[in-house]
Amino acid sequence: MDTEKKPINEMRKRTINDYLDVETAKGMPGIVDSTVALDFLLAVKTGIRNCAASITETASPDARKFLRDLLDQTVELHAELSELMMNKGWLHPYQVNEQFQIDKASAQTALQIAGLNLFPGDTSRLGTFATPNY
Amino acid sequence: MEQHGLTLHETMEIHEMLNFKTICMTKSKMMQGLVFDQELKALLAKDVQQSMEAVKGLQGLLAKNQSH
Repeated sequence: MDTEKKPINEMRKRTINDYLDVETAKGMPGIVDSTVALDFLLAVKTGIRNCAASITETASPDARKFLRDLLDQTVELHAELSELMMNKGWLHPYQVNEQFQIDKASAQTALQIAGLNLFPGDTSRLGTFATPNY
Repeated sequence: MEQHGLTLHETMEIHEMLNFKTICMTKSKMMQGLVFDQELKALLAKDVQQSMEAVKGLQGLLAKNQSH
């Protein structure tokens, strides 16, 4: 697959003060996608572990068969996802050093975003939903 | 072989798995609308499809257990 390695760390040198600043939006798609992909990968990994652990608590053949099939399917999904993430340059299992640098930069960016007042004002939005008893 | 229902700890495990898969399915569905990369979106869509089957299967296992 001919995928361009996206510079997902491009914006990480600057400090983000204002989320409405156009400069801040530069490189945002790459950051969003790599973050979502990593979250997805963590979920898949957790799923595989949960599934394997569940099998050890299983007595009925039906449940065991179901969980085994689910485990197989999830391992397959993990292969597909990690390959996609490697092709996109979001995951570097063979270059641990590079991975560490990216992860440290990601943590720094996440810290900056976490520090922003992203949702000022009232976010209840209840007026837009039918919620007579909420 | 004699057909038993699920054991108590099995029921707990299957139930935990149902919760986990339900959340995964919901999250993957939401994330689909968030990502820019279309390949990643396709993989999330695939996960939603598989999770739907898994949730239905887990519901089936739990329902069959209740009828015993």
